[in-house]
Amino acid sequence: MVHLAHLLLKNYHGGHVVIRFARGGCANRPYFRIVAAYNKRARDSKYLEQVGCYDPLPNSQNEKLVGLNIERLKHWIGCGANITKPVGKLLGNYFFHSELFACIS
Amino acid sequence: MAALGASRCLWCRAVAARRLQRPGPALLGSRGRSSEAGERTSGATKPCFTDEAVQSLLSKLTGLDLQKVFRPLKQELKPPTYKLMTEEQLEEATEKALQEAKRILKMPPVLSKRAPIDDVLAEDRILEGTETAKYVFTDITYGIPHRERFIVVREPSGVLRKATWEERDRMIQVYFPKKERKVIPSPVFNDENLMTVFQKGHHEDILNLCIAQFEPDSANYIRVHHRTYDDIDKYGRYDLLRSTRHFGGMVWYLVNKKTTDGLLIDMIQRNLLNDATCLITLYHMLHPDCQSAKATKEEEVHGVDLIKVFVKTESQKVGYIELALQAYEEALASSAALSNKSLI
Repeated sequence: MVHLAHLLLKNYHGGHVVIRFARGGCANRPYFRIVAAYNKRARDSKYLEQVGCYDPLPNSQNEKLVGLNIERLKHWIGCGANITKPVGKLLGNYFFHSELFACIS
Repeated sequence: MAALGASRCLWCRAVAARRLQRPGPALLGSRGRSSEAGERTSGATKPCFTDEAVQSLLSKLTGLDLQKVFRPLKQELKPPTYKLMTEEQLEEATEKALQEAKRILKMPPVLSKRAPIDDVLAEDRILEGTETAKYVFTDITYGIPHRERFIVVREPSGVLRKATWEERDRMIQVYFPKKERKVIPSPVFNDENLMTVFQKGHHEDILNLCIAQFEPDSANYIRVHHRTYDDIDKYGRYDLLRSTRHFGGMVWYLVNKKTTDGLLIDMIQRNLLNDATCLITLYHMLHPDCQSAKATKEEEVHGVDLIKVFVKTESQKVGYIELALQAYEEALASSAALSNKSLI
């Protein structure tokens, strides 16, 4: 059998993994998925893994819901993924000092 | 033909009953932990709801009316299935139905109210004024029990605090939805609307909804249950819950509150004297320091005499209970006289 899959997959020269937002939802109604993807990929296209979600519009209780899969997030940060500024701002809201340091180290 | 009809009813309902909501494994796990904690704190002297002796007494009181347990529920329409059975097969089917009924009548847990969560993790006043809405962060890692999840709220004032129990329940329902449970509890559970529900006699339905919607140790669950039991006690409609899984919980609540008179009168009027003695034994188990308990310990009292001793010392509605007892004894005597006459 001829194995061609790995040759057909896109190879990046000098690309790296980032954790960033992928926008979903509709016009005037954003919804973000927090996603671990290659840097060179389009914003909403194939990602490596979804690591959370963020709804920027507040609900009836005036809350913005964020779900984070901490275990997988730690894994990707451990693998050397970069974090974009908006995601970093969101995570900065969540983590308080000691846990952030524990997470990264 | 009647036997065929009855067995058909039992089979259909047994199949349908499997689809009814049951507490899931996660809930059972946490329920086990909290009831252990309850036993440790209450001490060896006070019997707990989950003790075997208490549970056996409560299940005897609940009764096992197959016709009521397997009565037609509002479900999707299916044409009835008819089976032709021999006498033995019919007995086996009745046995199976009894086992299924026991499973349906398993009592939901009775736990004490959970302590409110008030933990502030960090205070970053720098962030004050940057946001207008709260951020609720939920840890959606797969495989953590729901009770141990991190759910944290960042207020617009910059305070990072742990989420309250209501917020926790809502978030867990958003990310890990359970069937029949809504994200925001329905307004049926508000006190004003409960009154309307009770007037129409839907006590059992509201209790089933409450079990599906709330956790057993949440304030709303306990409040709805206590209101229902109080309403039933006020109007004496104990028969609504007899042979359902809520009867044990109701008896436990009434015995703890020491307002068992209405229930006693109802039992005597329906000629359920065994149930009445069970109730009084349970009362003595829970309150071993009361006068009637001490009196019955000294002399071995059974049956009607036990009820009489209890009535004299512990009840408030002495007159009513004694009247009911008199009526019962007269009815017994007259039926005995009639049977003697027929024999002669």
